Amino acid sequence: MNIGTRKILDRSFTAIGFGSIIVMALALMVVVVPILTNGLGAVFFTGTVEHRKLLHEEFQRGDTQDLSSEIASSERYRAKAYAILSDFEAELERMEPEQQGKYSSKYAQVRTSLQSLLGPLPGDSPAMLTRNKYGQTRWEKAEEKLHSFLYESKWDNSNSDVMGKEYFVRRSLDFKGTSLAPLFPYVENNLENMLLPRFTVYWGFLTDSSVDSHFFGGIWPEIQGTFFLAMGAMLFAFPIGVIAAIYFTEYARPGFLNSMLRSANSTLAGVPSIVFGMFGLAFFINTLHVSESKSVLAGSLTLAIMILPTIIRAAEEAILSVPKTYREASLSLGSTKWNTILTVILPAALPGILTGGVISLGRAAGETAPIIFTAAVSVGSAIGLADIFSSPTPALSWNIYNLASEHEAAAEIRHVQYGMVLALVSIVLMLNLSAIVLRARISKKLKG
Amino acid sequence: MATDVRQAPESASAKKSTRDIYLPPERKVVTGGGEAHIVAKNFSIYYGEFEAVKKVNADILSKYVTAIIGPSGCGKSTFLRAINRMNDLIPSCHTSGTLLFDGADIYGKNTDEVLLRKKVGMVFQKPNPFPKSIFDNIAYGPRLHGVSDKKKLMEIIERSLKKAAIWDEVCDRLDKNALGLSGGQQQRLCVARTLAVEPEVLLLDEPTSALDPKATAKIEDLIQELRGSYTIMIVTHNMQQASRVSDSTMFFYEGVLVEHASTAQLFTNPKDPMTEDYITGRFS
Repeated sequence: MNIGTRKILDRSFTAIGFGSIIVMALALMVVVVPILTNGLGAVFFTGTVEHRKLLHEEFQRGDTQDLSSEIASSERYRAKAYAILSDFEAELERMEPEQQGKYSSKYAQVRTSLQSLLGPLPGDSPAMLTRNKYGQTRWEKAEEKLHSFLYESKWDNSNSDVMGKEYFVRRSLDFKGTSLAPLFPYVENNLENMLLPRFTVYWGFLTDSSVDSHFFGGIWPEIQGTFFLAMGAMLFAFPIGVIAAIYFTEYARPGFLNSMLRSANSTLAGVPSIVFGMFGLAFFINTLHVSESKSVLAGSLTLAIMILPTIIRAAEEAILSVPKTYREASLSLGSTKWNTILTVILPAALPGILTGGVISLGRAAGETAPIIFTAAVSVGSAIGLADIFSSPTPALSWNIYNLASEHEAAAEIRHVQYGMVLALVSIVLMLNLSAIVLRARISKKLKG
Repeated sequence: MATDVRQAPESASAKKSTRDIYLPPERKVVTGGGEAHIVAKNFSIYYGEFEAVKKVNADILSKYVTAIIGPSGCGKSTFLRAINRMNDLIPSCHTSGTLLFDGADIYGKNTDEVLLRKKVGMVFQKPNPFPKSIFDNIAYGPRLHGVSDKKKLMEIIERSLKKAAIWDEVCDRLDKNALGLSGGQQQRLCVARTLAVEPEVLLLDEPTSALDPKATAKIEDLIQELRGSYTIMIVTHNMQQASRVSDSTMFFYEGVLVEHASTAQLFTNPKDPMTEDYITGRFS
């Protein structure tokens, strides 16, 4: 090949490599940036007085005096809105029946959307669900609700060839000339005074239980559940995996059975995780009866089976990479095989074994399918350590799916979904980072 | 020619006493040494079907230095590693004939290879200290054999390091990682580590092939120091080294022990033409 062609080939290969790295980085950005910005929004956001009221009533947090003065100042502005409402209600009473019919349904809509903005209005019966006890706790949500309070959404279906188009009509037009008309500009102009938005850092998102299926509160039960499940899986899988790896590398004689076992192990690593989930249900719960029904124990065992092949492979590779000379040196000093493994080979293989372990831990923390049938519930409080043998637990991975797709008001709690995703990603990332740091430290210690 | 060497030589000890044949007249006689410490009788080593060492008959004298020379792949290392059963690590390796150590069969059914290796220490081609501190490296053997008292360990470590002529260089950094030492220091550390379990035999498998000339000289001096205290066997590619450090020399060619005689005789007046060709550099 002549030198010109060779150089062109070299350069084009460099360009292609560089290009693919850029594409990968961009793809990563597309995924990570929304997770980061929206997820952080669960902790750092502009909270309203309703949020502080919620914290005080549900979690007994915050200063009572400050809060009551805040509530008093917000009530002063709300009082006028409430007065307009009661004026209009009185006016409605006095109207002709047909007039009444025309206004009452529209008025009901106005009232509902004001309720969702400010919380229960005077004269409402006490709310059954916690979500109805408070107005909007987050300012950006409140602005959204303000829009739907001011405008009625309608659909333009005049052109039958295209899909209907949404358009908005000011509600104030419907109530022109009535005593309700001043309410709309009043709320629009005084919403800030009624809700008192303030920048809030809500670390409780990580440490609080959820209130009313994640409408309010935090994700601690999920974080704790994920922690229990992943640690439990490691507790089972790590020792067994390392022992199996020692057997494969040090004791097993090469032969048909050994190669069968090894390829079985590799196959196990490629089995879809949902199959492990079904297996866990069928074997641990229905056959072995480790628990009545779903439990952390059953979930941990299932996850352990799932990560076992990875741990075995990582440990095998780590053990095989220990120089043969260490083994020879130890044996030549009159050490037994067992002692050599314990005092020389395992310490030298430790960085690799631990890395494999921590990466498996991250995988166990992130897996959804194996725990659907064996351990996860959608809503629940944090369980105690004593309950792991009998109780199921919420877990981040499963609840991310659940909140995003099966929650009755998924659109209202986007920040919780993103917050959970960010929490899970951070946990896995931290585990992997700690694996890298651990590896580097031990390797440094070994190298001297 | 090749067919000649494949025939194992008659056991020399049949005609003359071993002392007369192997002991160098010009070198200092070691008191209490000169017994047949390791005895091979029709001893063969196989890797699967392949016979790597063929029907070797030899007596290794106690407290003297025996060198093993020969071209690459002639089976000298295999023979050396057979003495403390390091070949057990290779699954396909098996033996025939007998190899005696202190009169007991090394490959006998009741031989405890762990005990054997305690008595027959080995230093390898590449320095192979453990990735631990210098202290832990030397203490590894004694701890294995039940010494746990820190003071006693310290005594053993000092004695071993002094014997291996490395005490002065490392005495102030015993807690540092052994991998931080230079290659030559590491190799002497390995000798010290082996000495710490108080073996009777020291097997050196090309101990200087990975070292520079200066470090090599130190190891050779060390061997001279240890001569008389331990039965030493050294495999080497370097014929000058063999002639410098050893009392008797074995020449292997293609698995056959061609000649075994006192070093002075083997290098000045070899009996076998093969030996002569090899030591004069006609092949290697």
